[in-house]
Amino acid sequence: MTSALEWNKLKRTGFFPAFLAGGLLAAAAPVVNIGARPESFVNKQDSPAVILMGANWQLMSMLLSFLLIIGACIMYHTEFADNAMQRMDTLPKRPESLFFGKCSVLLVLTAGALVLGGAALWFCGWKWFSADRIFTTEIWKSMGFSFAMFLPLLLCMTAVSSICKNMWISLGIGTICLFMTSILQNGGGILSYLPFMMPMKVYPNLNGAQAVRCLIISCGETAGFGLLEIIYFKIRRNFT
Amino acid sequence: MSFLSLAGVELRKTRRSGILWILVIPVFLIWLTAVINADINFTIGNEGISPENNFFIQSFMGYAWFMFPASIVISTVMLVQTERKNKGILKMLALPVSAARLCLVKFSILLLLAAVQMFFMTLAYFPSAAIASRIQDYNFMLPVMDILREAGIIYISSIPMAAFFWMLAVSIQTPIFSMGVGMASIVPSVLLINTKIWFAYPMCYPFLMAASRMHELASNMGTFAFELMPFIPVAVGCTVVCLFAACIRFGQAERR
Repeated sequence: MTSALEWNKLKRTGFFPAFLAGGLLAAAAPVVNIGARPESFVNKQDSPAVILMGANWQLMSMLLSFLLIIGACIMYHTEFADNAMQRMDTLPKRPESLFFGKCSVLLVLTAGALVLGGAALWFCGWKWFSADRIFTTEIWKSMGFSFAMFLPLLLCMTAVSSICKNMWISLGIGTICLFMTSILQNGGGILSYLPFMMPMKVYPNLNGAQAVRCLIISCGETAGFGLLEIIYFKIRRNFT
Repeated sequence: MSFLSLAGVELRKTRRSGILWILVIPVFLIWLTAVINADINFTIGNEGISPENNFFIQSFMGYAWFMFPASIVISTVMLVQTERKNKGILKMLALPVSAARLCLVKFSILLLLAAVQMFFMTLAYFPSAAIASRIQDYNFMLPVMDILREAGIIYISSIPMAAFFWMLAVSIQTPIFSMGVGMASIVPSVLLINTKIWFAYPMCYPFLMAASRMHELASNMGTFAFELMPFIPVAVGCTVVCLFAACIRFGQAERR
């Protein structure tokens, strides 16, 4: 029920057109990039999935991360603006269910944006690389993997926005974290598993064991953020 | 009310917004990573740039490309949302002050916040260069005037961009779109500085200034000179048009 309420609330915030526009923008990136100079890509030795993901995923994942950050900020902003949150608190509903309701909406929209991105990559493969069925499987596996990689960022940002009443603070925290990924992305080690670094991972470049490790870490971080948020709500209840 | 007293009122409003933290923390993180990774500056091979110049310009390039424009967008969100909260804008519009003047005062506060961040970025360079020099046993410190000149150029070149972001924030009532368009417009500036029509895209000016300086400092990277002729009139025109549009749109939705 909470998820259905969330969908209704977001109807007039421009949330859905914004996700559609953002998803289309991210999807346009590979088409424009490859379409503008196909000769730089088609003659490479690697498989089409490696070339396409390597050339475009950084820009695409950055745009999608921005979209998620802004989306998470807006979701709680609609609650905090005009003190709607106080009304929500008076309902026989736990704040945790509000939080996970919002997360589920963001999850569906992220999946939608990734489907658009995957379709654009598939189109590039079909048009310029005359790609086969293996490529199609590889691209959709990549999108599925990236969906799991976006989970920690999604929960982390929704948690930040639920804590910060002022939207510019949550937006600022998200932007600073995203900026740090652009500085830290060349370094390996433990830093590459930070929630904001995970979406930058390129599935075709990872071997089986690395991909499984990323998936486990992603699930661990997601569960960790969920747990921290529940603890936060329990503590907050004692002070309000 | 005079322009200055209005600006004083606006400044008082921003005092408890926490925006200063959001402006200062990225500056701290930029220089912290630069100091930790200072040894990378010695392994830059083919560009022909000295380690001290590389230490300085790499941090400023990253800042001018992403964090500086993003901070301006965040500041516009702060300036607009503090007024919308509890309908504060209605009270402001009820004052015997023209809406256009109020809009320009807020824009000047936006420029001031950008200046504060640039000031911290420049100021933090000196202790960072000193610490890196100490750790690496190599002098990373550049002349003060070089640093001030570059920071000043990047700041001045960001004014048209700030005007554009301010127009977005004022004109688009739905915050998700004003934030989204602002943030999304930052990302492609890396691509646009290499096109012939870069001057038509104000969001790439600060990064272009930093990239141009990088090419000046690196002897093997060639030149990245830019013509002032279409650039200056277009930049001034863009600023004027954006501010004019913002002044017209300011408070229009609330007055309806």
